[in-house]
Amino acid sequence: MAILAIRDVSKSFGRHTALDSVSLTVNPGEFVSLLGPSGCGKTTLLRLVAGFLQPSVGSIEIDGRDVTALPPNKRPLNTVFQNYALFPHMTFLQNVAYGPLRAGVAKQDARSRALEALEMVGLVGLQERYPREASGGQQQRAALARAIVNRPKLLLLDEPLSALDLQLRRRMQIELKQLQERIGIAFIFVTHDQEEAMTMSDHIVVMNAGSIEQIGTGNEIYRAPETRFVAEFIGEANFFVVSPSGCDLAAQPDGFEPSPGSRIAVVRPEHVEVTTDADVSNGFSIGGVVETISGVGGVTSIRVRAGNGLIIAKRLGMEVPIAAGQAVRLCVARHNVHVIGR
Amino acid sequence: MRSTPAIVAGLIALPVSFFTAFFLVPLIVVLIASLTNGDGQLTFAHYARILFDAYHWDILLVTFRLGLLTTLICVVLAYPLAWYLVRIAKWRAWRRLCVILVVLPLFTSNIVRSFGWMILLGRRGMINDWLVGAGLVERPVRFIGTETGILIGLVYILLPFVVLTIGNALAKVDPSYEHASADLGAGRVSTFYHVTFPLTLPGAVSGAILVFALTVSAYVTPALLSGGQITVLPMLIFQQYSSVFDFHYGGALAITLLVFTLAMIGLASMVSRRGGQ
Repeated sequence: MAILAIRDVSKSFGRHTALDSVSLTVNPGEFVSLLGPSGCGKTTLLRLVAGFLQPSVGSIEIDGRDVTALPPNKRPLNTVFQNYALFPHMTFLQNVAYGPLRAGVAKQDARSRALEALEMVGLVGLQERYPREASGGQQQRAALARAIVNRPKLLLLDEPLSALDLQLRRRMQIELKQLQERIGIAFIFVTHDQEEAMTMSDHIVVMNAGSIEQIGTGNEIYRAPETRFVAEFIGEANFFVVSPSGCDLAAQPDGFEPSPGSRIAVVRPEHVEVTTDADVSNGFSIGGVVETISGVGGVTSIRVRAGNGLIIAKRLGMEVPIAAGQAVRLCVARHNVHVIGR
Repeated sequence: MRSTPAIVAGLIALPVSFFTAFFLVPLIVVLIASLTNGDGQLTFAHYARILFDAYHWDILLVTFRLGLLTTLICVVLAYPLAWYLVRIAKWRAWRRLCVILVVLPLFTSNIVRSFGWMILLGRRGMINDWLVGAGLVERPVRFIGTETGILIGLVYILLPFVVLTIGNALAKVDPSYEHASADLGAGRVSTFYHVTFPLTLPGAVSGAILVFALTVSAYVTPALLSGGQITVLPMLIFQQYSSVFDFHYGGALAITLLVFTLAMIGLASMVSRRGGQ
């Protein structure tokens, strides 16, 4: 049975609709990311689940129980806040023991459970620190320990890594995922960072303008985006117009009025082959002129002016036998053209 | 701009000289006067007279009891008021109006306000009229000339200071702390007790210290509302300086008040620091 079931939830603030009829199910032990640009409603959704906001319409069930009307302190879940929200007047130990103490656990037991949780996140020996005396990474771990000490069935994380620098963020992503697998709590992780979502999640929920665009594994979302927004938001994408007769690489949908009955297809840059060979056997092809070539991190991006726009191709390696200004041919194999529904 | 020692010295020269001329020097003059007799010889006789006389201890007791009670009542009354202003009054214009109403009494003279209370609290004043009219008491209650009367006047005058300091402290509490507390299973009362109150405690303590210091040094309100029945230390000091012209004994009284006040404030900040941890 699902640990969390959100049914047709809408939320408006005055005349602004922050969430529009959102439904989502999360299974026990699952790692689900809510991914989207800022203002897409992902944090609003998280706050509705936590109970800090009340939905205008719809219901929320946790572990088979309707919690829509329950205040936050009566819901069987915990939250890691974006700014950690560690109590500044308490030590790490007191912060982590806060949950058990409020749940009526005896002082000594609360202490040992707090120490255990601090050990789990790698903060042994730092239990007497105050938040202001600790680094960002340590505060992040303490906030995590505080949220898991009560062993909730569901943990909500609101962009918990956004304040950390890149190196630490990468390390915490892996640690967080390992911890989640070890303790078996379902995580709902809000982020605007697609790489972060891809690294950690079992399922990614892509949101835009208050609605869910697509739910799927990282792979599914990348390979088979259902909407143009998803295709654009995740990774880089080339869009073409497809008609019953095939994919027209010369026709990019921006600045081009597609005829009725035609649809839009996405082709990922790594599936665009750049060649100087004039003869092309299968798939679709078009001639163009290389505009720029740039290499980052072992991947080279080649921007080619072709048809009515720019087509981006990527290939592994930093050395390519092509120069800017050169005429080339671009080829896309038939199976790499993904037609999007909407 | 670089802050060279010369610039720093230039910037603080004015306040330092002001402070020295109008605060430090008079204080030293008072201190010296308190330690000398009419012939200019060193003596501790004035302090001995104060400390070995039950009359002075009684006055000190009344003064500090009024100080503590005023502070306590102010804090207890100011908390809900500040809470309302900061947390409940959402409409900005209304909140501003409330703040102005709280602060407004500070724009009138102390003397006028104390006379106002003399009229309200008198035997045939409005408050007694109400109490008798409502059948709450049979005969008019005596307020003037009692500590209760003085207490009412002092609380009324000093309440705005505490409302403002506590309100300021409350406004600074990040709501995410309270959210975190609720998320960890604490109800509203528990959250207030464990999180909100400790976080506003430094603000409450600074407000309380302010009120305490102003109460134990208050002259006008106690003098007008005492009806000649009660004496607090500032009244005694004023008497010595203005009627008896005994600057030595008066000075000793002033220094005694200062020392006791500082001791109380030191104790309070020690307690609050331990409580805040």
